[in-house]
Amino acid sequence: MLYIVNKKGEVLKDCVERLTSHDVILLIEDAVLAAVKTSPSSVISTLASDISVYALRSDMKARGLDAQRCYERIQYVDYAGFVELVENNKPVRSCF
Amino acid sequence: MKISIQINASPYQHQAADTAWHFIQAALEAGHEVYRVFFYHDGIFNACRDSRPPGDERDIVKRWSALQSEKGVDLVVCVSSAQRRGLLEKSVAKKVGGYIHAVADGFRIAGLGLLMESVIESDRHLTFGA
Repeated sequence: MLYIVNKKGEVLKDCVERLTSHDVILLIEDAVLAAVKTSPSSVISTLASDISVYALRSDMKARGLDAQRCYERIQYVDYAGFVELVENNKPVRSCF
Repeated sequence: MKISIQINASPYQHQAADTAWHFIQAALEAGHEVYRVFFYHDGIFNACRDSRPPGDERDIVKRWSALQSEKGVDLVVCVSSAQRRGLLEKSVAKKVGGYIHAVADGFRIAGLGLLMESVIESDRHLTFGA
């Protein structure tokens, strides 16, 4: 399942609690803030290794974040990549 | 792939309408079909004809109208959400004495049946909210 998450904090935590093996998370909008290593509320570091984590590059840029400050496991997509994630995963769940 | 979109949040206050619009552009570019965009709850404000953002800003309402006229994407506004917020379909407005031009070009007003139809008919249904 692909989880599209748009907020860090409780919304992201609730999503993470539901994850099962090989699920995929896409961080969009304010959820990209959870990608930062220094973020105290980030749960990204607690995820199992078979969970793929993506972040939307334009939302990172809009918030002044670059990959150097973020967890190494995060992969970055543009909107075309967002569409591919939706195509390659079923079902898709939006968490907001 | 056939994709349907649901937008639950007001434009300008939340990012949902922008994210959805960029996603739709990328999906169309990749050759996918956007079956319908359904505007629900505060998302109905995306259909507000008299929205007049400053000239140097993106015009979210006009952008949706263009998506319908240029790409033929079906834009559906939830009738109950819209009536509660004062966005009346022409026939209803005439009947109750309301503003008859509230809904922008390219949008149509309908019920939740069309949301259900979107979910059933599409390969993927994505919701963007506040």
